[in-house]
This record gives sequence, C-alpha cells and structure tokens, in this order.
Amino acid sequence: MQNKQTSLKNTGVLFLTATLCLFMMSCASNDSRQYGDVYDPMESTNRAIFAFNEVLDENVAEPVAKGYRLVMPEPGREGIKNVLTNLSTPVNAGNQLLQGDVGGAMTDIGRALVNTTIGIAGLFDVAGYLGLEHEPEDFGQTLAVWGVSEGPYFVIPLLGPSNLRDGVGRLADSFADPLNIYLMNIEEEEIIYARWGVSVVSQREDLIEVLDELESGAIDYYAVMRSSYSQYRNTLITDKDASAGMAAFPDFDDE
Amino acid sequence: MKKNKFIALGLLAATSYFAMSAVNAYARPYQLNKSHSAEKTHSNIISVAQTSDEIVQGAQNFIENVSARGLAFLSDKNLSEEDRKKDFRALLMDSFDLNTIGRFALGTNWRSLTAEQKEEYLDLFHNMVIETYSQRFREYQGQQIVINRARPEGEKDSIVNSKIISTDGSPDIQLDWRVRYKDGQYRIIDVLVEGVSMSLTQRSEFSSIVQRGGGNVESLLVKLRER
Repeated sequence: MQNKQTSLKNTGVLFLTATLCLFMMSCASNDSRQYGDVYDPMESTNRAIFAFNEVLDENVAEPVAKGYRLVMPEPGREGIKNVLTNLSTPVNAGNQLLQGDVGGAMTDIGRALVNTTIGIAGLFDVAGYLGLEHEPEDFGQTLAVWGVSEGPYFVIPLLGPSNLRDGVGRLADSFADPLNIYLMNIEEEEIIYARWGVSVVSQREDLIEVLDELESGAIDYYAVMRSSYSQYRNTLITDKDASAGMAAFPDFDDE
Repeated sequence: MKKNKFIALGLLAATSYFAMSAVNAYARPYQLNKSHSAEKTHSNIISVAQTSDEIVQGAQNFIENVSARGLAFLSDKNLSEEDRKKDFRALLMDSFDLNTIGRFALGTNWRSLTAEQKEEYLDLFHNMVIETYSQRFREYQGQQIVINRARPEGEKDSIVNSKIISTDGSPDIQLDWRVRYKDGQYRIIDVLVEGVSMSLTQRSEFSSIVQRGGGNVESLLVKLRER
C-alpha cells in the first residue's frame, strides 16, 4: 500500500515534468509549417512501425473486430460502447474542467448520473436521448487547449497514429483515471486490461468501413493516416467547430 | 497540510490562467473574422449584384440539390453498376470544381509541371477521384443527409454543414461542404468528414509522394498512371 502510493506520487511528478517539457518545447519550436503539414522527423522509423501495425491489424485486430460484429448484434455493441463511455466519465469530466469548460463537466456528470441509474449501469444512453450529448475529451486535448503544440508525430506500436502531446496525454489519462487507481489499490488489475481490450475491439469495429475506405483510396496510406489523424484531433480540440483553423484555399484564376 | 493547500491554489491559478489565455486565443480570430465578413458584405453590394447572405443561401440550396440528385440514383436499385458510375461521373463533373481541387492538391509542385504534364495530371486526377468516390458510395445503405446551416468563409466560399444519419442507430457523421461561388456558378471545392478535409488530405498525400520520389513530380504521375 505504502509502495503503491509512492509510485503513484512518482508518476505524478513524472507527468508534471513531462508537461513542463512540452510547454518549453512548444514555446521554443519555430512553427513555419503550412496548415495541414505534420511535423514528422522520425518518418522512416514511423513508417516501419506503421507497416508492422498494418500486418498485425490485418491478421489480428481487423478479423477480431469483424468477428465481434458478426457475433454481437448492433444493440449489444451499442450498449458496450455506452458502458465504456460511461466508465470514462471521471477522466472526461476532469479534462473538461482542466479546459475551463465547467458546463461540459456538468453535462458529463449529469450524463453519468442518468445513464448509471435509468440507463442501467450505463448500457443505455438515456441522457443522449434527452439532449445531453457526449463530448469526448482527453488530456491530449487539454494540453492543446493550454497551448501545447502537437510535437513530433509518431506511430505507437500496436496503438497507431499519435504525437508527443497526445501520447503523453494518453498516459496521463490512464494513470489519473480514478477507476484504474481504485482497481490497482484493490489489486484487480485484470479488470483494467479487460476494459482496455474491450475498448480496443469496440473502437476497431467502429472504424471497419472508415479505414477500409481510406486505405483503398490511398496511394500513400501512411501519409493519408498522418494527415487525417492530425486533422481529426484538431476537430476534437475545437469541439467540432469546423470553422476554427479552416485552411486557406486559393483561387487559381491568376495563372 | 498547509503545503498541500498552497500547491492546490497554485495549480488552480495556473489552470485558470491557461484557460483564460486559451479563451482569448480562440476568441480573437473569431472576432477578426466577424469584422472581416461585415466589410466583405459591404463591398459585395457595390461590386456584385448578390449579397454575402444570398451567396450563402445559394450555396445551401446548391448542396440540397446535389445531395437530392445523389441520393436519387444511389437509392435506385434498378440501375446497373455501369449506369450508376456514369451518373456519378456526371454529378461529380457538374458539382465539383475538380480542376481547382486538383491544383490545390498539387500545391507548389504545380509550377514545376510543363503544359502537357499539367493536362495529363488533371486528367489522371479526375479519373482517380471518380474511381475512388464511386467505390466509396457503392455501399450505400439508405443513410439520409440533413443539411443544417451555412456560413460564409473568406471571399467567395461558403461552408454548408450537414449530417449523415444512418439507419442502424450508429452515431451521425458530420459532413461539411466548402462551396465556391465563381462566375455565377456554385461548385464544391472541399468535403470535410468529421473535420477531416479531403482536399487537404489529398494534398498532404501528394506532397509526401513527391518528396519520397526525390522531389520530382513525375514520380506522382507514375503512381497515378498505375491506378
């Protein structure tokens, strides 16, 4: 118990340091890139990891996702998605608060209260029907709102596209998740891994068509994923306000 | 205990500081845009017969027409694959400004092309877009499109927001259309799916291919011919 608390404290300090480093970095980097270009200094390594992930995806993740879709009917998959969203409430609401969005945090808490009770442990998104819509937040987005830039793009083995900011955010979210901390304290780590596994399969199932289309339409799939990831993250950061950061689109009358 | 309180207070102060600066950073460009669009409306009244509001309304009507036309032949089960492709090609040619999109996708590399290369590139680009998108829409399963609202973007463009609503209860997909009004005509120059711009992604992909081909645009033409 004592050890665990110290290790938690240590990870806390680690993340504080990592966040500070990110601030320094984002202030120091002289950003002269065009909108839509992604900073990718480790491209060759990234491409290798990407190729490795693709093999794994083709042989494991995609077949599992397709099998899951086959075995589990739509309402069941929807229910599992709802439960996962409900379980993410503490992290989601926490990030809303860190981003200064008190209303968003209240919405999250309201959603959890309604869905956990009337929605039977989160299986049904009753709050969603009532107009309290889920807005996905994470610490990567929070860092972005605080002014931290993406940093270098990198592909995480097994997990896929990310960047320094979002990678740190991901770690921070999973370590700060009260549910995970609780499960670690009662020594039920298996549940953490089970939840993570279910959420990976559920997310992959969600993306079957999207990824198929992106790949079949692409000449350089790596470049397409890199650009799409960065743009999609920007959409989430601005809470789906497509007007923020719209790229300039010149008129070509001149030539 | 006192120390903890101090840290908490410090964190709170830091958080609110960042939140404030974030709000400022987001609010500023928005306000600039607003005054800019007001100015533009004024100049439009003088130079063009149409006001900015009319252009935006026109763009929205245009997207409503295009999507109605698209849904009509997508949901026509009697159409052969060949006919569907032909209809789709016609719709794309009428409603998308493929030359502008193609030029945008090539970025600054456009200037390094000879006249013949430019012609060949645009030809290849048209074919690629038609191939890709007719494949993409083949798996149409009765989804509906709801057009929500439109707003001006820059001098001649409007952004039309819409949503694709599925039949199986999966979440709506946000679809935004960038429509340019030029020479008395509306044309689509970009489609954003959940905020991901197709034109921008295309440009990023092409620039990566050219870069990996040693900066030679011919390497892209080779890849496009292969398709």
